[in-house]
Amino acid sequence: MSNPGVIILDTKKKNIIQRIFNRNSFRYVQIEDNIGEAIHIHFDDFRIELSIKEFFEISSCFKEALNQVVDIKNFDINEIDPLFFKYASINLEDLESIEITTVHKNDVSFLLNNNKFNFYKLNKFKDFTERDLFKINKEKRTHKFYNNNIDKKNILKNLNKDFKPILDEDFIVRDGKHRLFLKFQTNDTSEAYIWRFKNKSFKINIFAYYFVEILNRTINKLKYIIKKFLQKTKNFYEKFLQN
Amino acid sequence: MNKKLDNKKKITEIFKSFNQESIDIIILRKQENLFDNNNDDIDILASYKDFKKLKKILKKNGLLFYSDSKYINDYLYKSIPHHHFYNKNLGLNFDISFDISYRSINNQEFIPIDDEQLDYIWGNKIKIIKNDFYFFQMDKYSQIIHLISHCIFDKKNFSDYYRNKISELIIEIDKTIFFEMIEPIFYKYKKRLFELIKDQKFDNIFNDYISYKEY
Repeated sequence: MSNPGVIILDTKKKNIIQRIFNRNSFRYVQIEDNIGEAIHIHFDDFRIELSIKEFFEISSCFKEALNQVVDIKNFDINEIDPLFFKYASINLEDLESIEITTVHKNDVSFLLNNNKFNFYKLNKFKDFTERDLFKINKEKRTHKFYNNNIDKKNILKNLNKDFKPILDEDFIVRDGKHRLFLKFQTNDTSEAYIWRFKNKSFKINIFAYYFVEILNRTINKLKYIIKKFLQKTKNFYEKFLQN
Repeated sequence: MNKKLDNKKKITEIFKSFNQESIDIIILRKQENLFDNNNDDIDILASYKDFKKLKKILKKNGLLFYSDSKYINDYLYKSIPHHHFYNKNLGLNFDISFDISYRSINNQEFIPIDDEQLDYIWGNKIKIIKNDFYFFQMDKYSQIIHLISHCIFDKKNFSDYYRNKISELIIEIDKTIFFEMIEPIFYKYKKRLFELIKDQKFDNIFNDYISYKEY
């Protein structure tokens, strides 16, 4: 049987516009952990099966290749959170430079969704609490069994004094916000990588984000209503016409 | 008291009708508790070719029909939604499946076992004869594999009933045959699973399974 013990580690699908205008690459890529069996990497109908050891080996090869392909000073894939890299990689062609700068805690903004509607908002360090960041803020994760409980003690234990978060040109923290928040609790400044992109392609447009987010939520709600309606119609048919 | 008697009478009538119509059904779980009023569902495996006859008998006995929805759940690889026949007054619910499917860990899609595994279950079913009727249950290998899979994939935990039942079965089976039969579901995890069950470490199984790395 097909392995029911499957966990999707990550997936990336083209949207309909990308499908129409970019026909030269795969429609979707998905990495699955088929427990006890193999790691599967799907490229459309093509599948690679790997043991966990082979999967880590191939990941190291990809990392080495990326470090050679991205010819930008201070770029080291081994220092970048893979989840952040997946998100940033769409704009990698536009990456112009990575500078190391000292930033003050009053100048930096953090993206948090610690509100009733879970919409991301920009916050300065003084505007939110540790609880807002560690307990209320919840990042979206594809991995179903990802541990969303971020352990402060563990972060502090592993927090290196040379740690540098990744900020964009607007000084918004894009990777390492928990570690930077803890660092700012004892220091007013920190060194940070500033990633600069051509045409400001990596810049956060909060209004565009709200528009897309509201649109997505509306579509999902409509899908749910339609499914419920179809379910109720089916139940009605079975209950009153078949019984 | 009356409800319990009515319930028992109705189940007996229904099963007798199944026997008269030569409809073979396998009770998948809790077959010992068939007349127990606290038993939520009677989980049955039937052949789809008998569906019309089953439906006629169950409706004739005052049970109402509904089926699980393809609009709410995802059914992969031709898995078939369960069909339910219920009578709220009697507290009866026949949960009928025509294949054996488990819910995937990731998105809860229903995934059926292979046809060969299903054929094995039908081919090795055991007849249980009661006073007025008979039914079938799975052989001990299919039964233990089904209960383990049901607890891990559908329930994500092992209730007391299943712990006791699985513990009873595990001492009766041959390890080699068990490994061979469970391989297409649990692959390399089979040996570790066997050890955890042997050691009665049911609380650890689900988390241990999803964090298993030796493959």
